[in-house]
Amino acid sequence: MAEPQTLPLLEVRGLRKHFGGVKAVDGCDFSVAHGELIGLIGPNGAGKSTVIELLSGLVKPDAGTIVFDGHEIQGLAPHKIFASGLARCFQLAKEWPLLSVLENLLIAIPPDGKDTILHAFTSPRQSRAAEKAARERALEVAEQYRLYPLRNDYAYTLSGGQKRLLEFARIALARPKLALLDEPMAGVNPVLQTQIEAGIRNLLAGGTTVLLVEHNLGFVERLCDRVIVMVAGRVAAVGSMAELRENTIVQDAYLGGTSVA
Amino acid sequence: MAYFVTVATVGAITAILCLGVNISWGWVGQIDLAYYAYVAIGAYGALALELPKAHPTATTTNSYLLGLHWPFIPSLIGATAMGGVAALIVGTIALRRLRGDYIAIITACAALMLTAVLSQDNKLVGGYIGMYGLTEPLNSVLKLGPTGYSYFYLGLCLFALLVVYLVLERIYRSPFGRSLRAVRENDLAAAAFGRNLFSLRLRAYALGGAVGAFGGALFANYLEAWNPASWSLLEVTLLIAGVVVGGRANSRGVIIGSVIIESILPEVSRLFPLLTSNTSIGPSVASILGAGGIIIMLRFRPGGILRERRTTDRGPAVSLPAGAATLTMAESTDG
Repeated sequence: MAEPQTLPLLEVRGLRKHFGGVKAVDGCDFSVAHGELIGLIGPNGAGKSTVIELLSGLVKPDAGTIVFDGHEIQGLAPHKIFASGLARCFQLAKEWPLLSVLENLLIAIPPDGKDTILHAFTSPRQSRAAEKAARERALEVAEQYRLYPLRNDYAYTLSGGQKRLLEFARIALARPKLALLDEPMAGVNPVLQTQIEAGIRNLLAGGTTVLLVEHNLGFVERLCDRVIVMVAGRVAAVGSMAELRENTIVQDAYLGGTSVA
Repeated sequence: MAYFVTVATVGAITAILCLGVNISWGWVGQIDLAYYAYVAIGAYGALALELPKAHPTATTTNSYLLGLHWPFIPSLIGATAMGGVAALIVGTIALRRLRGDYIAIITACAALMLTAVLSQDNKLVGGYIGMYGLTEPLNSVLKLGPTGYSYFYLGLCLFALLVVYLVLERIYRSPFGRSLRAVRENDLAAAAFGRNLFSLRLRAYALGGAVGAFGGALFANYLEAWNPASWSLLEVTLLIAGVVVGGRANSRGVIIGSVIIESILPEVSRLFPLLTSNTSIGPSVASILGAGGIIIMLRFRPGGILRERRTTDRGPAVSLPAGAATLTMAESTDG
């Protein structure tokens, strides 16, 4: 068997998803190496978000393979994909509104099969110890993401920016091998942008590989060594932002002076 | 006083039933119209386990399934399990791929089918005539008089309500309960964070079915008989009304709502025939007030009388581990 580190963490081959006549993802190939922060850019409608949906299992692909950490995960249920170490953020923050902020964070910690009805009654000491450990971890991360004073608030009362931070804190608690971040900078003020950037660096420092979908190209250039460009459901190019600027296909489709559909 | 004991006993049983409805509607957020089928399964199940094969004085050709002549407690447990298993079967069909509104339709169909089968087949549970012939469960041991026994059974039902309340509160606060509420609040996000939606919904559904069957078994033992007319879709609507009025996902609120909708309203509406010449107006008024209660509460206080309580963390403060920094500090080093 080959050394796991030499294989990419994620390898996508011939991924396809059509919605009726719309070829949202149409034969998409790319790979993500261990520990990298890779960007995924492209014009609106290029299929970036659909790729995220397919990778996280919320949408089933029509064709193609997704090999994650040595296992094929295409078509698996979302909870199985999460259990294999792949977590995602949502483009629009999806908090659990009528749960407290702390509860939102606790849900993100994988329960390891300890969230059954029986566990509510058997081995109370063990359950209490596990709950206490989970609480401490959650509150540490809450402190890190400046959510500690809000821990007892309903999640729906958070501001848009705080909800973004909550999304990051949840990902940090899930400790995934790969985090998919869907436009974390969309509609975010400059102060929060630096915080989110720090949050992304935190994830990387914790050993999480990050795939970042983003429209803010300056930000992508600053953070990502390698960037995937998607156009019309396919990968048009892969490279550093400097290389991509020279690429005529990318220029026409996305970066160029002509207006983009 | 005897009348009050009757109302209180039925009230305690109905509160148990409302707590069961609260699991699917309050915790998971799905409307379960089959709920009365689990209540009926519990009632029939208890009678089928407790009664002999057929009532000795029966003049009809009816006979009963099972007829095991078990004692009270084991048949109560058996009936509860039957409700849980039935809910597991219906849930497996209804919950696998369907959206909320379809779940309501499928569960309603399942319940209507069960009623049709049970009332048509005379050999299963006595058809339309139902099952009857039980005499005061446990009283062969207790040897109480009629008044004493009615107090005993009231006490038993109140104790059962307390046990169900404590058990459900514990589950609600456990990681399982938390996962269920996350599924209710946003199922896609819950799935993306590793929750198996089908498994969680199914387990909650089976738990609800078991609670319904437990209440049904207590009810059948109280009535000492059961037939298809004892329960209908309207009763489920009133149970849901109890949950909505009292406070969805708040067990204490649900008990209060149950008492208001199922005990106080019908008793108050008994007074209406005295005001008009129409003697049968009582139950209709109760239904109107119950349904009106749902509408008024949903409009003006959707959380119910006692809203779902937010869990509050009062534990000691947590300090950051060495080496970790808040995002502001990282921000300043980023420049």
